[in-house]
Amino acid sequence: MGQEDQELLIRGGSKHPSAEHLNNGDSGAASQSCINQGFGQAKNYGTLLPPSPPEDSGSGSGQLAENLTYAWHNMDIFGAVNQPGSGWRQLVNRTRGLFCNERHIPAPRKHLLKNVCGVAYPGELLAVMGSSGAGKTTLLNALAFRSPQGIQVSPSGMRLLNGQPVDAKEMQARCAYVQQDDLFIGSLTAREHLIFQAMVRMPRHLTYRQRVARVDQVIQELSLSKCQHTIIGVPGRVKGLSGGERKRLAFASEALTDPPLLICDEPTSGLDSFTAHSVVQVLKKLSQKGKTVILTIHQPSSELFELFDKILLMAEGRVAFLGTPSEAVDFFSYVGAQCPTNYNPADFYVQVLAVVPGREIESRDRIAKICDNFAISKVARDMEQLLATKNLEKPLEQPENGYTYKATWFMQFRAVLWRSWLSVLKEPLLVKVRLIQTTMVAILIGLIFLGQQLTQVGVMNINGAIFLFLTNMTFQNVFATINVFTSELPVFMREARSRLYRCDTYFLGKTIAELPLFLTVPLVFTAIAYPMIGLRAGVLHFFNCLALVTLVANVSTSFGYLISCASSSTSMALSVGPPVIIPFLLFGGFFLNSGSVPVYLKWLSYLSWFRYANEGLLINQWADVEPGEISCTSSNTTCPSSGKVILETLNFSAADLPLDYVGLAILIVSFRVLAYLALRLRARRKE
Amino acid sequence: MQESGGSSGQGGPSLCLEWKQLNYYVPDQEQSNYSFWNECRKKRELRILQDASGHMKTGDLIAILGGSGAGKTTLLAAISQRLRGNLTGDVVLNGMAMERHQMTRISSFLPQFEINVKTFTAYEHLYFMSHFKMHRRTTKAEKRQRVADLLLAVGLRDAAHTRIQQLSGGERKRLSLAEELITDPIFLFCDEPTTGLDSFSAYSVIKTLRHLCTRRRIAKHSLNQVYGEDSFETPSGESSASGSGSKSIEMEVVAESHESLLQTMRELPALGVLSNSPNGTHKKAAICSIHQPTSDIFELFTHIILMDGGRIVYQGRTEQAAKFFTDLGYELPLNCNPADFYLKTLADKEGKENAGAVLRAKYEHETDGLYSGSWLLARSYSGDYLKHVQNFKKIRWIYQVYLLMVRFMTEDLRNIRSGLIAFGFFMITAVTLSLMYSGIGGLTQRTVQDVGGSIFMLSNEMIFTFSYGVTYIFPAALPIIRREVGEGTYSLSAYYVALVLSFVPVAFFKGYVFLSVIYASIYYTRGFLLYLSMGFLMSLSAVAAVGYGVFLSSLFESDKMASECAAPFDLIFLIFGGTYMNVDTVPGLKYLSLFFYSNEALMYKFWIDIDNIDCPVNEDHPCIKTGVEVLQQGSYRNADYTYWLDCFSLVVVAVIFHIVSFGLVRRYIHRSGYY
Repeated sequence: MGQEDQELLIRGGSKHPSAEHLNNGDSGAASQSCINQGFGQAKNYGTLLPPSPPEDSGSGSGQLAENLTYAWHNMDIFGAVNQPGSGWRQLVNRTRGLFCNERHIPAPRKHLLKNVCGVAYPGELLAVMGSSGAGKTTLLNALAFRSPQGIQVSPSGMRLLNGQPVDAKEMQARCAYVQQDDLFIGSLTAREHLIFQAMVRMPRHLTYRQRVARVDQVIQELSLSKCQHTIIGVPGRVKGLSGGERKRLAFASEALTDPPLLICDEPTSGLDSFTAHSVVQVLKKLSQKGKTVILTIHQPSSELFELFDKILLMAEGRVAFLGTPSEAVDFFSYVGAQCPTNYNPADFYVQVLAVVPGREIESRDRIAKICDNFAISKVARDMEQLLATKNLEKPLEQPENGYTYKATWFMQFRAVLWRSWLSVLKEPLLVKVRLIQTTMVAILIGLIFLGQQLTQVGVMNINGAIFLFLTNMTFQNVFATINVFTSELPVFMREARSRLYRCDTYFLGKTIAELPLFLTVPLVFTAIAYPMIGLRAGVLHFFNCLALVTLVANVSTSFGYLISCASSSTSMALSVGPPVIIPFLLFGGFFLNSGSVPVYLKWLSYLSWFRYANEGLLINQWADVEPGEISCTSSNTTCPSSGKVILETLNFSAADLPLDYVGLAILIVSFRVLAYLALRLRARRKE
Repeated sequence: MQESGGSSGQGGPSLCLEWKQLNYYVPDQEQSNYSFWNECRKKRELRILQDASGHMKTGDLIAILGGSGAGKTTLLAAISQRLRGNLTGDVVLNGMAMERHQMTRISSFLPQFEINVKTFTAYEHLYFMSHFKMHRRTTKAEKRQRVADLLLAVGLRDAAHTRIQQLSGGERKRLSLAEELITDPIFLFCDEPTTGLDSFSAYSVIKTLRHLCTRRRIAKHSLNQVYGEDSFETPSGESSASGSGSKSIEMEVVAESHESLLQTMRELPALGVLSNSPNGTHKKAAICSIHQPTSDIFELFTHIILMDGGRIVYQGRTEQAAKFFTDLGYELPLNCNPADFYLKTLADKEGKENAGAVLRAKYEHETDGLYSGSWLLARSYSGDYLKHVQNFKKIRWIYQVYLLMVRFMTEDLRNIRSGLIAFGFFMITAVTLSLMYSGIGGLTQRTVQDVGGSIFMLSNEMIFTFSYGVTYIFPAALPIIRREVGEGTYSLSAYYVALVLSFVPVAFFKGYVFLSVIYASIYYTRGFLLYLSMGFLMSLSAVAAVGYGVFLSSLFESDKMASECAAPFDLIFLIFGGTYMNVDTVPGLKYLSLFFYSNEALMYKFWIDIDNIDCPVNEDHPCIKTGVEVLQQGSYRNADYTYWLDCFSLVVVAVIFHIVSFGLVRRYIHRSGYY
C-alpha cells in the first residue's frame, strides 16, 4: 500500500526499492552523483514551457493588457530573531558600540528563504504550498515587494518581469496584492465599495460613467451581482457578506485596474470547502484570461488541487518542487514517496515535507534530500538558462505618467467625502444609536432637574445641570469619535499605504462628513433639556446656550480625533482618554473654584474647554438675574442674592463671554491640526 | 457495527451508548425591528435535528461529517446531553436512560474553542483541575502522578512548565484533551478538535483519540485513584482483584492488523501511559464533529456519520462508506480524499436530483428497524463503573472557594504587568488630582466648593475604576464559568464567593494608596484618624462598586453592551451623588445611589467637627460659617451615627447587588448550553 512508502520515507528507512538509491550511500557524495544522473539523463521532471497562449486575453477594458512572466532567482531572505531579553542586549550592544567605537555589532538573523527560484507564466495559476513555517508568506511578500519591517531581502536576489529587473514602484503599477485578512468599511454595500475603489484607483482621464461601467463588468466577472447591494458587514458584529463573497470583493477591488499580475496570500483560509472552491475558481478564471496568478494555500482539498496549473512546494525555506501536479506525482514517486490512492496529493506532499515534532532530524534530512534532488533537476537548470537568455525580451512599458496617486486631489477628496458620508448615514452606531441615546439622556436629565425655581437649592441644581451638559457632551462625543474613528483606521492605513489617497484628503473628507452629526446631537440635546430644566427664558439665551454646547461638542470631537490618531489601538485610546480629560474637567470651575487653581497650573486651564463653556453658560444664565429674583428667606446668610453674586463667588466675570467663544473656536482648530499631524506621522512611520 | 462481539470478550464488558429519535427545535428568528410584534407573532420553530438515531460502543472513534450548518455540533451536544432547550428523544447507556448529570459524569465534552486560564502553566492547570475533578480523598501524590501521566500521554511533557498562552494551538488542544481525561470518562465528545490546527497537530490530536479508543487495556492501577477509597465499600470481585495487584499489568493489543504498519511508524511518544487510567478495563469511545478532515486523519476514524440538513445520511464503518456510495453510482475517484468526496456529493445540489435524499433513503432502508425497536443492549449491565460513578464525591465547598481564590490570585500575579499598567493609570489620576487641588488653603467659602469637588472626585474615581474594571473582566469569564459549572467542576456559589473575596484586598489596597497621595496634598492638616476613616469608606465603596460592575455585566452579558447601556445608570447614580444637585430635590431616589453614601460619609467626616469658616469681605456674598451648615446646605445628614450608617448601607448595597447578579449569572448558565 501507499502508506508503506510514506512510512518508509518518513522513517528514512531503506526497504523500498525506489528509495534505495537515495539512501544507499551513507557517504553523501556518491548519492549526490547518483541522483544527478537520474535526473540529468533519464528523467525530466517539471517543464518550464509557458502554457499555450490564452485565447481571449483582450477581453478587459483595453488598458494594460500586457502579459507578464514573473521570474525570481536566488532569493535569500533574512529575518530578525526575536530573542528573549534581546531588547536589553541590543541596548547594551549599542552603547558598547558607541563607547568602544564598534559600530557594527550585527543583530542575529535567521535565514528564512534559501536561494529560492521560480517562475510564473501568464495564463497560469501557481499555488505555493507547504506546511506552516515553510516560508510561503515570506516568499509572497518578497515577490510583491511588501516585506514587513525587519525582513531583509539579500541584494543577490533577482526579480524579473519579462526578463527585466523590477523595483517596488514598477511592481506596484502592475501587481495586485490581496492580503490574507481583508479590511472593509462594514457599512457600505459591495457595489459602493467598488465604486469608491474605482474613483481612486483608476487612471485620471476616465469619466465617471466609464468607471461605473468597469465596476459593473468586474461585478459580472467575479459573480458578485447577487450580493452587490448587500452591506459588507463586520464579521461577528454586523451580518453582511459571507466569507467567500468578502474574498471575491477583495479580488474585485484589485481587478478594477486589470493588473496583469495577481498575488494572493491564503485566499481560502477560514472558508469552508465549497466557498474556497468558488474563490479559487474565480482566480482560475482570471488566470485563463491571461493574467499571472500566484497564491499561497495551506491545505487545499482534492478538488481545489485539481484547479492549479502549477504548484510550488516549499519546505524549510527551500523549493522542494515546481511544476505541474502530474509532474509532481512523478517526481515524488521518483524520490520514493508515492502518493497512495484515495489520498489527497496535496495533503500527502505537505505531510512529506513537514517537520514532525519529535523527529526533527529525520524530517530535516528527508526534506534536504528532496530539495537537493529538485535543485539539480532539469527544472532548475532550465531556469538558469531562462534567466541568461530572456533578458532581451520586450522591455516593459513605462507605467502611466508616473503620478504617485492615480486620482487628483479633488477627486480623492470627493471620493473620500462620499464614502465617509455614506458610512455615517449607514453606521447605526453613529446616527441611530447616538440620536436615541442623546434624546434619552436629555429627557432623563430634564426629568430629574424638572422645572427648577430660583431658590437657594435651585441655584445649586442649575449650576450642576449646566455642568452636566458639558460633561455629557464631552464624554459622549469623545468616546463615539474614538470608537468609530479607530475602527476605520486600519482601513485607512492600508489604503494610504497602497497610495489610494493622500492623508489630508482623507482627514478632511472624514471630518467634514461627520460634521452634520455633531451639529445635530447638541441641537437635539439642548432643545429637549433646556426648556425642561427651566433655564433662563428667552430666545437669545437659548441660542447662546445652543451655540456654546455645539462648540463644546465639536471641541470634544476634535479631541477624540486627536486621541485616536495619536494612540495605537482602540482600547489604548479608550483608556488614555479619561485620565487626560479629568484635568480639563477640574479646571471647569465646578469641582474646583477657578480662583483656587494653583498658579503653576494656570496656563493649563486655558486649554480647558470646560472652563470656557462653563463660564459662558453661567454668564448666559446668571448675568442678568437681578437682586430679588432669587427667593431667599431673609434670615439665611448662605443664599446668594443675585446672579452677579453667583458669578462672583465662582470667580467668573460677565465681560469674558466673547473670550469664551474665541477660546473654544481656537481649541477646535488646534486639536484638529494636531490630530492631522499625528495621523500623518503615523501613516509615514508604518511604511 | 458488528465487531463488538469479538472485543467485548477480551476487554471487560462493552458499553454502548444509544440515542433514539433525537429532535431539536429552536425558535425561528425572523428579522424585524419591532421586537414587540415578534413576541405577539406565533412562534415558528426550526428543526435543527431531525430524528437522529444511532449508537456508539466502546472502541469506536466516530467522525461526524457534514457541511456548514448540517447540525454536526448540535448532534454532538444532543447526544452528550449538553444541550439546553427543546430537545426530545432518548439517550441510553446499555439500556439505562441517562440523565444530564449522569452523562456529565461518564462523558467529557471538548469544546471547539479552548477556554483555559491562560496564565497557568500546563502542569499547574491540570493539577488545579485534578483537585476538582478527582475524588476528594485522592492524595496529592496520586494527583501529581495522574497529571504527569496525562501530560506524557498527550505529548506535553516538555511543555509542562510553559504558560498556556505560549503554547501552540495544537498543544492547547491536547491540553484540553488531557483536562477532560482527568476523570477518565468512557465517552469523549469533541467538537471540531482539528479546526485551526496545522496538519500535524491535527493528526496528533486525532491520533491520541484513536489510541484511547482502540487499544485494549487489560489491567491498570486501582480504581481508587480517581474514585477514592470509599467507593469500594461494596467490592465486586472483579474490581478488587484488579485493584489488589500493586503493579499494574499493562498490555496493549493492536486491534486490527492492517493499521499496524502505519501506526507503529507514526506512533506518538508515550501514548502507552494512558493505559494507566483507572478505568483501564474499558476502552473509550470518542465522537468528533469534524470539518474537512485531511486524508490521513480521515483514515483514523473507525466509523463515520454523514449529516445533511439535520438528518443522518449515513452511519457506519469508514471502509463500508465507499461501497455504500458506489452502490448508488457515486464512484470515488482516484487520488481523492474520501471525506472531500462524500461532502461534495452531499452538497452537489445541481447534479442529479439531490444526492443527499437518495443516500438517506438507502441508509434508512438498510437500518430499518435497528433503532426503532428495543435497545441494542438490554438492561443487563450494571457493572462497577456506574457504581463508582455514583459513589463519586467532589471536594467540599469551602475547599472549592479556597482553590478558586488561589487561582484568581495567581492569575492576577501572573498578569502583574497589565495590573501594574492599570495601577499606573490609577496613580496618575491620583497625582493629577492632588496637583490640581494643591492650591486649597485655609478654610474659606471657596474651600467649601473645592473640598466638595475633591471628595466627589475621590468617590467617583474609586467607584468607576472598580465597576468598569469588573465590567471588562467578567464577561470574558462567563463562558468559562458556564462550562465549568455546567460540567459540575465546581459550584457557582463557590466561584462567586471566591471572586468577590479576591477583590476585597485589592479594593482596600488601592483605596488607601489612592487616598494617601491625595491626603498628603490636600487634607494633611487634618490628622491621621481622618485618613483611616476616609480610606476605610473608600475601600468599602470600591467593594460595592465591584458588585455594581458584576451586576451590570451579568445583566448585559457582553462588555460592549454593558459599557454602552451602563451610561444611563451611571448618570442617575452620579446625579444623585449630591454634587450636581441637592439630593433632596427628588426625595427618596438618593438611597439608590452608591455615590450618595460614599459622598455623604466623606463629607460628614470632613466637615462635622469644623466650626469656623471665614466669610468673604463683601457682605452681599453668601457665607457658610460652620461645617454643619455645609452639610445642611447639601442636605446631608449630620447625626452622630451618619458615618457608620453609610458604611452599613454600602455593605447592604453591595450584598444586594451581588445577590441579584448571582441570580442573573445562574439564569444565564441554566439558560444556554455550554458546548
